[in-house]
Amino acid sequence: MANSIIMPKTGMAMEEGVIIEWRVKEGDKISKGDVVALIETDKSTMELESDYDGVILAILGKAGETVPVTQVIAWVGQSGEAIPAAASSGGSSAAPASGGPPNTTLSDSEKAYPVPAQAVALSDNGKYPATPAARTLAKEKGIDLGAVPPGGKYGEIRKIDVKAALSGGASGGAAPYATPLARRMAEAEGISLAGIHGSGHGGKIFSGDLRAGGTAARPGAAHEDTRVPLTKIQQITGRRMAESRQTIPEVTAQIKADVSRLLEIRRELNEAAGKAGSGSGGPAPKITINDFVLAAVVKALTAYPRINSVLDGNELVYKGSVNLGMAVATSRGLVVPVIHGAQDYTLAGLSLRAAELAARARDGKLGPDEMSGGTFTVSNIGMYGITAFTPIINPPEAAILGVCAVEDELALEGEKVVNRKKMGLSLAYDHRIVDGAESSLFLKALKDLLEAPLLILV
Amino acid sequence: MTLYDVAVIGGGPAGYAGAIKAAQLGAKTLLVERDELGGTCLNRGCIPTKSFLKTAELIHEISGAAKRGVIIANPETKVDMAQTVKEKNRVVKKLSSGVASLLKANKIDVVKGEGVLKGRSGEGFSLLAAGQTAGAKKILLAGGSKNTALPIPGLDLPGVLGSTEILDLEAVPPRLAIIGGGVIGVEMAMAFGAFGSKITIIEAMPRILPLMDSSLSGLIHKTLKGRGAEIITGVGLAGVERKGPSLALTLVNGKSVEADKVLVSIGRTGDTSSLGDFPAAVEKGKITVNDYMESSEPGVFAPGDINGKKMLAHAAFKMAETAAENAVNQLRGLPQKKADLAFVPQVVYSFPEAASVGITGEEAEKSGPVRTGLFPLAVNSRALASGAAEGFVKVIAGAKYGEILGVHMAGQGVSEIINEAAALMSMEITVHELAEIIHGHPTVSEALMEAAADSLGRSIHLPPSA
Repeated sequence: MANSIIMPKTGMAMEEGVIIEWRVKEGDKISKGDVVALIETDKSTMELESDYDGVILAILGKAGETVPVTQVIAWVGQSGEAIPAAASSGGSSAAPASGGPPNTTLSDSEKAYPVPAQAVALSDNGKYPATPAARTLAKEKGIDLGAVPPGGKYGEIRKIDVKAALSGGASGGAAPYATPLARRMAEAEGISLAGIHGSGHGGKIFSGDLRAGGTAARPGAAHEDTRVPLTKIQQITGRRMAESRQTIPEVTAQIKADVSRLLEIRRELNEAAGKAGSGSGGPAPKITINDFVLAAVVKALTAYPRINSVLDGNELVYKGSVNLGMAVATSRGLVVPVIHGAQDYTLAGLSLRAAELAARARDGKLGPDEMSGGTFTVSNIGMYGITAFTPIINPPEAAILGVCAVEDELALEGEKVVNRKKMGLSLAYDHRIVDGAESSLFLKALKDLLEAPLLILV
Repeated sequence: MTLYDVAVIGGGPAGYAGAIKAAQLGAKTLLVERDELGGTCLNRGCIPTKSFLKTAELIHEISGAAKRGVIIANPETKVDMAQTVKEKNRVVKKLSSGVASLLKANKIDVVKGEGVLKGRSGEGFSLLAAGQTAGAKKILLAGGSKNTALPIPGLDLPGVLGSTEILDLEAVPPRLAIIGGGVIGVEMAMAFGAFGSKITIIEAMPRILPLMDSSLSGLIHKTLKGRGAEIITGVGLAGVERKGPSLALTLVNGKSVEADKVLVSIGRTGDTSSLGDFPAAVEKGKITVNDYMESSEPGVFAPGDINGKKMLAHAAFKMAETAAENAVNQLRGLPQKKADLAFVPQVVYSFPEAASVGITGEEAEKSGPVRTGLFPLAVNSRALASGAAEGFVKVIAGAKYGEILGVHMAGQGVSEIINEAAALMSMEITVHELAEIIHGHPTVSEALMEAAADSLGRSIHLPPSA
């Protein structure tokens, strides 16, 4: 009969695992103990071994796929044997799905399956790795496999282990290798006790062994590592970043803009707005340096449309609109909300829209369309005092602008030494789309705008 | 100069247990003790007070004898304090010499005198043992604790006693004021109350036994009041003055109390004198240690009261065994282990006794959803037959898994029963199993099983709860 290989649950916190790679393919003949796949759990990467001899009948999970624990990812059986149809979709769980008695309702193909339904259920209920002989004996004697200490090399329960439990465990239920509390927690949380080496005498499993982490590590010695799963945003962003770096020939150019005048104008604007707003419903939101940069970028992109193009196969698409992405750090990870049609906004309008998108990004309330369709991205980390960096292009965009800190710099004005405020700008561009000359012209235009900020306003 | 594997400073429960453990593991071991072997527990704490309390219990039993049909011709009792102290000293001496012979049997070198850590030297440390320099590869500092000093005027007057001095009183004071209603204060109130002293307890916290489950505080409070003690809570002491032959205590609220003797039992502080000038981290008079009982200085361990984690002799035994094992294992490159102090039982040897292990009801309220079971001894047959129906067993368990988080009990003999609770908790037995364990009948310990069953709403000997 066909036996399932499931995504094992190896710890309290584990809800899903990733199939890193398959070491077998459908049709391969395997023996018990053979490594069939490499999987990543919340704690580590581990080799998943087959508990059965036979042929790989079906592989249901693809490499790279994240699969909930206890879901069937492969079937092992005799060559040519059928597998339960409900499972072949890849969506069914190894545990009785309906919560009722296992296999009280059978799909047509399951009815056609030539093995008694109960036996399938026993085998499918793969909470405890056990040899078929062990399962048969346990079933005959009515002993719960969870109460049998595994003695196998790979943490599996063997027939001899069931026999030992039957002869030694006269008191029934209370097996010697896990405390009642650990057993209850494992049961409630659906954790397999098999393979866990307990911290108690003789490897007895205590509740603490089921929890990740444990108590305080010894100061001065190696502290225990803490594993935290990446958020979905972090996973997606990470994949896209890696893809960007691997596929885009990226060049970063640096320039500095004198923003002394910009800072003055900004102050004047905000003061004027504050006064104007004081009579009617409080002060208007302040325009930030970043708002000026966004507005200047929109103007410069209009002048240099190639920087606002995206690559589509062997074609370059000059975008009709400037859809300005702005990187926002949130507790869930980096998100890039997009101001669509940024060319149609005034400075004040851009400022309001940017503030509103950033706030909703931090609250995790952005809609999918508000995070897509960007044509150019601005990433500002100047507030942390960064003076230059190499941002990663958000494909299929042609470039990304890194905005750096404003710093005091001494400059000669005639023969006088004066203090100027200089802002660093880092432009990373896809060299397949933009060449060095054009990107430099764009960056120069941006610098000129920031240095003559009234031009941004008209 | 001899180079020891392990040198232990202090011969109390942490010190002697640590030394014996190290020796059992094959380490060449030195123990330095400036006073008597056995430390505070044996000489000035747990053991002597238990001797006093047995005397008190006997008086208490005699007063209740007539009710059981025992006719004592002259039921008046009077305590011969000199004889009580003599009996206490006999017990202490016997136990102390027992420790000495155990150390000797384990081939541990014992030096009488002050022990002070000097510094690192060669492959280990140098220390002064009674003025002589000695060397050791690993150090256990088990200096124990001393009574906390309070900066209140008058506490240095004659007649103001610490928990040590009160054990050698020559006569029963007619009026005894006790500053601090913790475990020591309550036990002394029980003892001297029975000896005939008029007791006044002054506790600054809102209730006596403030760190224990409030149900225990309530029962002991009621018991002491019933025996004529006065209990003032939530008020601190402002000062003590000599007033003729008496001592006059002024409280922070302006009220005053008169007494013949005053016992100050407000707590204990680590005795870190053995540390000398060695730079291990000390916080609030206690040497900071990790779960491995190692101080901030690798190779220097500090088990017992000196680290303030749990100032109880039995906790000290565990900490010392762990420290000694880790010290020896460091020498052999073997793994270190933690001292798990989650389930340390604590007993007040009052009569009725009060005992606890795990978290209190007050702590449980903050820890998450719990289920609580309570079984009063008023319906326990053994307690009733013994005329000791005061008391109860309270079990606090996690709502989801039924893990036993705390057990609190009061009644005759609960100092022994609490160990059952501690054992079951250490072995992670849940209330589901405890309710199923057959307990002998009639025994007081049945109440533990019944309280576990009550937490699940199925105690046989309690009416269904609403």
